[in-house]
Amino acid sequence: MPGEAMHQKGADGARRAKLWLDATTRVSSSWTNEDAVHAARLEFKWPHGEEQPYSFDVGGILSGGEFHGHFFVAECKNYASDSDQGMHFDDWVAKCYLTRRDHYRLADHFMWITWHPFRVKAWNTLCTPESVKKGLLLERNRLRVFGTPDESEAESLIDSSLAEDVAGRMWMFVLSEKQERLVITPENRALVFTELMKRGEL
Amino acid sequence: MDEFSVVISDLTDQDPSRNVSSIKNAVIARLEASDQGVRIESTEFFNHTYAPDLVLHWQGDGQSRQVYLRTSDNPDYIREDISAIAGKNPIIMPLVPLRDSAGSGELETASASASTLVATPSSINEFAEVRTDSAVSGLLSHAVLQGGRGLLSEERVRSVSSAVDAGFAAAQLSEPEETRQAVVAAERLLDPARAGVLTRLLHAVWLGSGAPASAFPGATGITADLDPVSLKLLLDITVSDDPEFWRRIASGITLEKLCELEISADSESLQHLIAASVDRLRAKSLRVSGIKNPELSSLALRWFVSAGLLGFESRNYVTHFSPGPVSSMGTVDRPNPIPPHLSLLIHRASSAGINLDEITIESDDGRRIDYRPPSGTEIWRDNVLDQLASVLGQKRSAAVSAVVPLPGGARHLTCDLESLTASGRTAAKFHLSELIQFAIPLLRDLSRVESGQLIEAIGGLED
Repeated sequence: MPGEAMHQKGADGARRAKLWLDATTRVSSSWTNEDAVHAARLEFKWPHGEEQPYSFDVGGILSGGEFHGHFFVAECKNYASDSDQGMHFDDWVAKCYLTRRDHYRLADHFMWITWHPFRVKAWNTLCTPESVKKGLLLERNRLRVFGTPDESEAESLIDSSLAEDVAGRMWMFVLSEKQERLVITPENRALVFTELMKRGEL
Repeated sequence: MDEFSVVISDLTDQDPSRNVSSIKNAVIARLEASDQGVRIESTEFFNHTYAPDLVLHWQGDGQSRQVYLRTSDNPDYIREDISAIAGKNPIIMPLVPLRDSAGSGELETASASASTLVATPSSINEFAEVRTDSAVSGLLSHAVLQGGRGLLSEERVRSVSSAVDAGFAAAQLSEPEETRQAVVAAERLLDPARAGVLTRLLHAVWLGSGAPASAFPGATGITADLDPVSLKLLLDITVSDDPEFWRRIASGITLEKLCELEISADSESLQHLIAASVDRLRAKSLRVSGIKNPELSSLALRWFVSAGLLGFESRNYVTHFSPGPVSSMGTVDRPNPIPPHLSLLIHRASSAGINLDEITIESDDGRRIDYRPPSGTEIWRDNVLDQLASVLGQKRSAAVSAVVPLPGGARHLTCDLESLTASGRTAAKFHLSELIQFAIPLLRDLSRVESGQLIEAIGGLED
């Protein structure tokens, strides 16, 4: 797939993830990394190595119940196969760790939204502190996160309680085109928002 | 880079909620600048696919419209949003100009047919920028916020504003081509209801110019009558100071219709309209009250419409005219005057040349006499009245009411000097000019300047 088409597919994935999140009625604000206006930061920098930028695809504010007013960021993989998702996932946990460490106010929840599962045999261990540590200790991430090629030095620099905290904030979603359509109907959604507006809660 | 671009390029706050508030406040400021009548409610949502960011409300007509802000500049996404929130006739507001793409034409079609307005804050703000002292620019931006549709660029704001301005000027001169272009521009940009308001206004101005209704270019099915909304708009803006123009407009208006509106004494158009129709508009009753307005120049007499009544204020008193009976003026400040001594009433009648054919006089001890002079007697030359007054007791002999025979003989106007009101029999109606000429001078003492004001208000005395 040529770069432009790849980029468009990524943008479409972010857009579709935003639409689905909004359709849950549990999101009050959302934006994508493709937007022309950035109401909130979705782009950060690796602290070491070449200090390259990294970013999340979607961000926003949750609404209602236990998540009311919480900030979230999401990584979207508009993939038709497992492809190289595992590799990206390992980088993503490192990004989550850094974002929570350095910009904790911006990310109460980290969401991985994909259209195809990966590492199915290890699925139930993806959102664990071990999984976060594993990502952090990959060679490329040791350099970018801790500035050292040495594994044991990097390991000593990991804040275990932070890794545990981050793992507890990770969400895994596998969407499908049909699931995107199986959401509250526009008519019923209109009822919800009309009622909220009547009650002055919108 | 305008102020709005500065706001959105300067979102450095670590708290996204505060950035969202900055954006919303900047948008609200722009909307308020383009329409002073709008009240804006902000929701807890932002850039949400299905929930609005802002709800616009208008006082009076109970209208509201939802605004969906958009951080994306992709026209294809905006088009998807139109179908997602179809049926709400919303405003979708990209915060920055949309990317040029093949989708722009489709977006224009899709938004126009879904009665959705797609406009950036800067393009809405352009209405405030192009506003001159032209009659209709405020009206147009109000109509666009309420019922605009299609894709609105800053350039389109400028072109439609100038087409509508030119159309109003052209309609006053009966020039069909530019009038037609204004009708067409309004119909393309506005939903049928708002386009109808503008077209009826143009039509009224067209008729006011003296041109025949059948020659009006554009929309068919427009009636000559102005509905209350259009009439209000016409009176809120300054179209013309030509008495003939206002006389033609007035030909389709009744006091009942006028009194459905609220129009402040600041409206110059209302002053022109009444001046052109004091001998046409008819009221059932009138009340003079003592509310002073020292702010007014001693020569000013200003008409207003409020709480179902037409009125004028001047420096020392206010007068209300009602299309209904005296009881319909219940809300008006109720004076509690002591009725004048009989001789004072006679003096008032004599100074104003008003004859009376019945007077009710009250004695010191509350006894009343209805006195009718022999027909043809001028009341101020009637010696019997003087004698009556002295018999009743010099201290008071108050005149509590008087009946004025109006020219033509068949109608009588009763002036009640206890309540400072004037009215006739149940169904009787009087031209404003009659009430001004025959009632007010009996109901209160007028200075020479005040008498002159009234004569001027009814266009001078004919004889």
